[in-house]
Amino acid sequence: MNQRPNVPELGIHASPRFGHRKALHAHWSKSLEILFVLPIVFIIGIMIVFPTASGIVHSFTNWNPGYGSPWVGIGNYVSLIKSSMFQEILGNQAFLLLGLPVWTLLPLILAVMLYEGVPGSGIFRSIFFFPSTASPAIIGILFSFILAPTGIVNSVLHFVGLGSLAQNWLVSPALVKPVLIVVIGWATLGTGIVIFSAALSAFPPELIEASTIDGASWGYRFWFVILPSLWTVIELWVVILVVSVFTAMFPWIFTLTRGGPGYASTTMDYDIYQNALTYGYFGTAAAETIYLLVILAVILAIINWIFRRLKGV
Amino acid sequence: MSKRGRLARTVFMVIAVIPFLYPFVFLVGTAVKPLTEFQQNSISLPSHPTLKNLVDAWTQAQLGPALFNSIVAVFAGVFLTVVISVLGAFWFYRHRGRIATTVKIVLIGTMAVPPPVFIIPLYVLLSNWGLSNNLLVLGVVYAAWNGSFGLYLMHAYYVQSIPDEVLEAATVDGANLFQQFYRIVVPLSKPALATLAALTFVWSWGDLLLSSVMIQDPAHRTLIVAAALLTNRFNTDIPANASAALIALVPMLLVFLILQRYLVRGISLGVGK
Repeated sequence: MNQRPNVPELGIHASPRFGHRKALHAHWSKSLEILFVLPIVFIIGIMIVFPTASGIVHSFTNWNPGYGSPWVGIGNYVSLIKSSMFQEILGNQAFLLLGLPVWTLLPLILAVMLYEGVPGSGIFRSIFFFPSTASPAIIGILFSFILAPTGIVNSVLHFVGLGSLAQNWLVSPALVKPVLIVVIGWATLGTGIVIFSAALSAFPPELIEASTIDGASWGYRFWFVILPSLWTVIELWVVILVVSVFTAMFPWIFTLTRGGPGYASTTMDYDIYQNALTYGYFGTAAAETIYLLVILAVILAIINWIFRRLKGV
Repeated sequence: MSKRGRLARTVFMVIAVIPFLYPFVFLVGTAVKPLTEFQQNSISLPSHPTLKNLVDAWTQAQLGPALFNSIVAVFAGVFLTVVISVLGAFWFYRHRGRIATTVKIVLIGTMAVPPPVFIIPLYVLLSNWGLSNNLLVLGVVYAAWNGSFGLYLMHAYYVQSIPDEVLEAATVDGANLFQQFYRIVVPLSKPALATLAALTFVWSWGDLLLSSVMIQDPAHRTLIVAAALLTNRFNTDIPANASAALIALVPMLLVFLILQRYLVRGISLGVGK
């Protein structure tokens, strides 16, 4: 910066206070500047960086807070991967990922329809968006009533004469994971719509108009015009969803299934909580968090690779 | 675009929105329904609406104190998140050396460390120091959890909307960092601060994991934890549980209605947790 900007015009030069304090305080105020950054460094350092490092170290021990923590090497990792429960939990995580296409396409289709013009679109968007911002724990409680044996779903089925289809939705090992996929889709839809709407509002209208004049059908337009130009924001949304499936399932599982029946709906984050706080296996819980981070990193790398190909970069 | 298409889209939207409205109607209807009536027919409109369930949930399940606890922890969390994010983001905006940049990347990078990863070791650490079961400490935990996002958001905002020249000019005139911050940066930050505060509020108020780990003492439970613990499959008094869920939901609905604009803006920035 060689040229001095036109300071008086910015109205700062006019202030007398800046100049007269300068001589008195210049030196110590310079060294006090560090005070700006110390709070966030301390808080994140103590509350997140240090515990994460401590968790990594303790994942190699038989961690007993308050007592000794003997070194066990990779013992926790080996016993976890050999345990059939942990294998089932990994299977559950993989199953939940099957929801990704639905969780992505539904909000995208709705966002496109809102973008193309619906009267009162702001109200519709708000109604979809509210469940996304409400606490997952409260929405989970709400769905526990809806899916209870005497809940709305079964009552409606009986009411329309389809009582034979009524199920104990959250207690059936075969149904519990598909049901979770539906609930998560319901709860994430609004955020997806908001994100896609933001991307669409930056979308060149000529593109859509051109294809409309060409007589292209809605489906053609969606698949071949809109979808390919949104890969970047779709990738972002998929990443958010995948991270949520691995790290934000706790409130859903806690309020809907407690991981059951058996371990049929236990996720890694819920199991980490259980291992540490219910069973006191802190070392196992620590090793499980490292597994979680590694698996997540691998999946995100795969997603990045897939989208790079889709974008043709 | 054609009129017919517009009509079709509108009809589709009206149908699509039903599954997103009805559960909340059901929640309110159930909360004011006597238990015996609910057991006979769970989906009918309540024929004898009562406030008994709501009163019971409020008094017996201790939701009043829990609401107070939530307010303490969440307001402390939002306040602290905003303060440390703004101060930190401004410092990093003015200090772009190699060390400062590395520290900034590490701090923002903690966004990649989700709560399940740090919460157990953090709980062990804080209980060793006798700091578990403390609502203000829970607020600090919320600030640590949201601070990385806050730093990222505010820093991006400063890069975008506060030209270097303005601050350079102030420096040349002898304004120190405190004066620049107070006179120039804070007044310009208000829109981004509202967005950060709104998102932090929603995330912290709705949190179940961090508060249920950090607060074990029933007297210090937050509202969401109290409501979630009340509801489990062994408790079949659904109207009572629905009342608890409704009480926990109302503050979020109010905040949503007031701050929706800022929430949409924050999420539209293409970032989320």
